[in-house]
Amino acid sequence: MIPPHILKAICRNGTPEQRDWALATLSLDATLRLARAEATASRAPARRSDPLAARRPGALERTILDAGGRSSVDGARVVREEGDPPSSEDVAVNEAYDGLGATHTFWWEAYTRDSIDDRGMPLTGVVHFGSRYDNAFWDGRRMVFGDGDGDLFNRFTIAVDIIGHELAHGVTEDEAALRYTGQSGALNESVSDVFGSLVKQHALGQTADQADWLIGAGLLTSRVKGRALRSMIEPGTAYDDPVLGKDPQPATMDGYVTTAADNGGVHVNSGIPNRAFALAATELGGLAWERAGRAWYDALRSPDLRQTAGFSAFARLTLAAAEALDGRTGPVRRAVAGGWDAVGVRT
Amino acid sequence: MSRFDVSLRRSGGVAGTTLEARASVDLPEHEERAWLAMSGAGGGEPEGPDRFSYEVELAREGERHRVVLGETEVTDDLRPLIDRLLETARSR
Repeated sequence: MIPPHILKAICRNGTPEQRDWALATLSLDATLRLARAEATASRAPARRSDPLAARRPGALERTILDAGGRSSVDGARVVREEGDPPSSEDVAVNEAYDGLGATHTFWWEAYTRDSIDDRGMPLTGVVHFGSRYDNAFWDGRRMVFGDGDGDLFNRFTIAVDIIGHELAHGVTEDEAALRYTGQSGALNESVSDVFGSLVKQHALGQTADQADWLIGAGLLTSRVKGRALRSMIEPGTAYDDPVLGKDPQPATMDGYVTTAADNGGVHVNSGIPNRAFALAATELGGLAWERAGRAWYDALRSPDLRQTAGFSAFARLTLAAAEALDGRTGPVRRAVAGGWDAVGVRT
Repeated sequence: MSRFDVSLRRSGGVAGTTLEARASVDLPEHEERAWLAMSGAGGGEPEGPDRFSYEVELAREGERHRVVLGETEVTDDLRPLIDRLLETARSR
């Protein structure tokens, strides 16, 4: 019997015939596991949280809760569950539901990853968190969205790449647990921007040259002089506003910011690996999640990625992943090496 | 009621934008007690991805208190001052 992770690798990397075979084998495997689970369930009381209980791989299971403006998820009320029709009057509920769906679909279709933990973890989103709360975050179990203050920020469900960004924090935590400070923290942030952007590109069916490479377009109100929170392709150019100041992201290592704030500037220095990715992806062209994104995902899952990895260590793993895709002199490795070189990260 | 010169700096969050404000404020006694109890504290481990961090300085006649807080450490007694300074920071 072939282990599922090998089958998944074939699903990703095989010829079309090999992929069909591997997918069929995987679903047969799932059927066997299901049969076993059902046999167990007939002896024991069914548990809905049992990951083997009557679940199709890649199936979506979403729950949206409403925190009602409180700064706590305790007591939040369920407002929409999987398969429920859209909420008629609450746009945040529907955006969260759709954004979780787009993100789940991206991971499954692009990398056959079954939710955040690759074991079909149900997705929970909490909307209307806090009062005038300018943020969204992943709390280790669920996604939490604020409504924004209305002066600077709109509601945080408005941008699908932000939803993708938050869920990618869950994937990073599961695969690499990159420490959230300094360079490893900036990598953690960058990985979330990379896959957040890819969620959006996948949902829109965009190629690398069609993508805007912005993070959080639509999130800043019309009063703010800016296009988005960050630009992956031109870090430092997303906004320049009297209240928010100028986008502080550096585009290269020459501009690396040393600071105690923001856990050592994790949202600032992420601009450097962000640009390396955007350059590699646009150099390769086509659908960015297929080659550049694949190299980044494989690097993230590498057993050699340490929790305290810096930019160079991660860059070397993306090169190794690129080489595994199409060889030492292939276009992927060349584009990835070019991206890191352009931002001054030594490999 | 006691008057303080207060400065606030909010960093972090998924937006990664910094908001700063300064104001002279009268703190109710229970808020003052809560803030002074936090003096010099904080600045520990990150609370998790994309959470806010608040740097607050409170000063009056020769006294200076610096407090670094993660957003999960903001209690009901600390929140009003932070919210008030955030409103100041947002105004154009």
